[in-house]
Amino acid sequence: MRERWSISLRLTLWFGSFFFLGWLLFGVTMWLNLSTTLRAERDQTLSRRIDRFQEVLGNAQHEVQSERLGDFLEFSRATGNGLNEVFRPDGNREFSNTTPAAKKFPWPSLIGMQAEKYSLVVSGGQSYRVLLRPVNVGNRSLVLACAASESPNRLVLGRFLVGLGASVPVFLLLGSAGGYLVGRRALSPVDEITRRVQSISIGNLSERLPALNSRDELQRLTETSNAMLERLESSVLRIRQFTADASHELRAPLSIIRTSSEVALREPQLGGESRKTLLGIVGEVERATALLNDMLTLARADAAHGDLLWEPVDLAGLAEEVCETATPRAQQCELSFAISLPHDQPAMIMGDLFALRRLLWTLIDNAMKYTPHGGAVGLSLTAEAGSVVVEVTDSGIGIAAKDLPYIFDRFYRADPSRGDVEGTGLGLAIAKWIAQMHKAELTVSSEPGHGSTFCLTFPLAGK
Amino acid sequence: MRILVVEDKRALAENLGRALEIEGHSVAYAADGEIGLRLGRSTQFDVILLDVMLPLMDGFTVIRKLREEEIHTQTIIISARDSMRDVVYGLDAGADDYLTKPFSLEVLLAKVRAAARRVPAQEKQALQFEDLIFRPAQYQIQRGERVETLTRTECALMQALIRRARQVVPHGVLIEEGWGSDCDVSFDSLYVFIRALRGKITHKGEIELLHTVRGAGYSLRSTRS
Repeated sequence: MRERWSISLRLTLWFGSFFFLGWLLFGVTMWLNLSTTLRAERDQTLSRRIDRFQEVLGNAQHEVQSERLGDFLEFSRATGNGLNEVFRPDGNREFSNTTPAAKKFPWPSLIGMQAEKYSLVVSGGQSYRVLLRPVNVGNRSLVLACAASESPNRLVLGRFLVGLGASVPVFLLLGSAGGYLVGRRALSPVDEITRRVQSISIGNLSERLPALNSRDELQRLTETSNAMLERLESSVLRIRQFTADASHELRAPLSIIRTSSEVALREPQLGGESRKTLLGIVGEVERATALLNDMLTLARADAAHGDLLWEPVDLAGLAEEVCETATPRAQQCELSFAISLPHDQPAMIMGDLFALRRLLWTLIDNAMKYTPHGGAVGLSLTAEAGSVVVEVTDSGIGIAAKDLPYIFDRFYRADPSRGDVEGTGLGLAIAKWIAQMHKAELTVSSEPGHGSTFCLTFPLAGK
Repeated sequence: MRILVVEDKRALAENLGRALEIEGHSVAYAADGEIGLRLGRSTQFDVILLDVMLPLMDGFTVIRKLREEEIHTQTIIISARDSMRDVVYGLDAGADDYLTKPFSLEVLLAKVRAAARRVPAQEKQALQFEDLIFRPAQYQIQRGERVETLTRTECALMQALIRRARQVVPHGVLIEEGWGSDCDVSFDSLYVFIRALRGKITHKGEIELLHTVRGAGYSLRSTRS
């Protein structure tokens, strides 16, 4: 689940970032474009104004100075907020009486001016665009100056920026949502595939991933996975068949060895040494048979459901029965055996009677095996809301913490010194499997030197 | 007693035969299923020891055919197939008992003795409990219109149960009645037979008559209480 989320998240982030970067690039371009356009337009306006200014002064070249001044003032007041001025090349004003705005305006210096020139001037906290143009009016050289405020353009650009900024969250949100949706759409079959793959184990290898027809990487992935499952399934089938065959093949010779030895043991004239040897053989065959049976049980366990017959089982009754069977052995080994069961109250679960009996027996047998004479073994069964809990405790040698995680492994023997204890080494592995088949939890806790507790928790039938 | 050993592994068949002869039985051999069926049909045996994996015809088929022909010779299946499914299948086919290979000779001989002891029931008259009628002479139970054939082991168990109807019949008594006191039959084994019997007594939709009494045994009664 984590991988899936991270791909989705990464897609969302990537998509969001690209979307945002694209938007940013677009915004900057638009802003530059807008500001260039606005400036060009304003410069053109200034240039046109100065053209007309020139015309006004030119028309009046034969008139007297005062009339020219009148024309100029009239023009200046009507145009550009009065920010028009006529200079002589030396920088002095041609007309002493101009508009108040022009008089106050800090016109740029004319020194060294050859051709028409645009410049920026700051006045009263505002910036202005200024155009200076040298002209000849009649026989006089003059410089015409016009200025226009930048603020309307600044205002437009400012508004544009504010609009751009305000749309940042919207665009980020849109981008991320887009990325998320694209990611989800692309990855939605992955959820299904993950669910299916998680559900497939050695027990249901015949299942396949749902076929996709998307002609993309996911289709390739499912097809490849299905091909792999196919190969796994056929290998497992071969191994399973081999296990079944091998066990049958082994049973026949074991059977012959045992029966032959036992028949030979019945011969009246058999010598003492031969008798001992034959008894040894029978004992070994018995052990080999137990091992073969356990291995076969586990081999079947690997083949999905093993060989279980499901029916309602009274766990309390079963526990009582198993304890009854175990009591003589407890007495023989001088163990105290405490049994605690709910009175006359069945604890019904769905299960396989033989498997469950074997499970309980394995736990009790195990407890008795590892508890020295004079120790205590106990079984308690409690039915709680929705579950039945069986606890098997002993005061035996216990299990070291380093061994605890492995004691349910096949052929695992915690400690070489325990090697003299009888058993196939598969009992607890089988117990674990039986518990799993019944959806029960089998846990163990132990204190070395003080004993162990195996705890079985079954869900109640129908829950 | 006359015993037929149907087993294709010669070494096993010979050793079994020797052991049975030492016990004082007379033994005939069949090395495949067809010979086994033919001998089982033609000759009166007390007990048949029947392997399952046989050439020509498997043991399950042999026992089914014999039972179809109303031949009720005591039959013990000796099989390398140990799964519960196989055991139940064998009992359903009509076997009286089963042993999985490798087995203890002691147990086998005890089971042969027990089988021989399960002679046809002495009682000829039918016994009834509720709507269940038991006819020991015909190896039959009847419930309503439904008639089921029982094996001799099942008959022995049925008899023990119906004679003590409404009482709890302890495990030990059932084992004693079914196999005799010298035969070491486990609770597990008993349960397999009880399960098969219960399957014949009660079908789906009928009232359960054969009940398990926790930690004690089994009981024929019409309700749990």
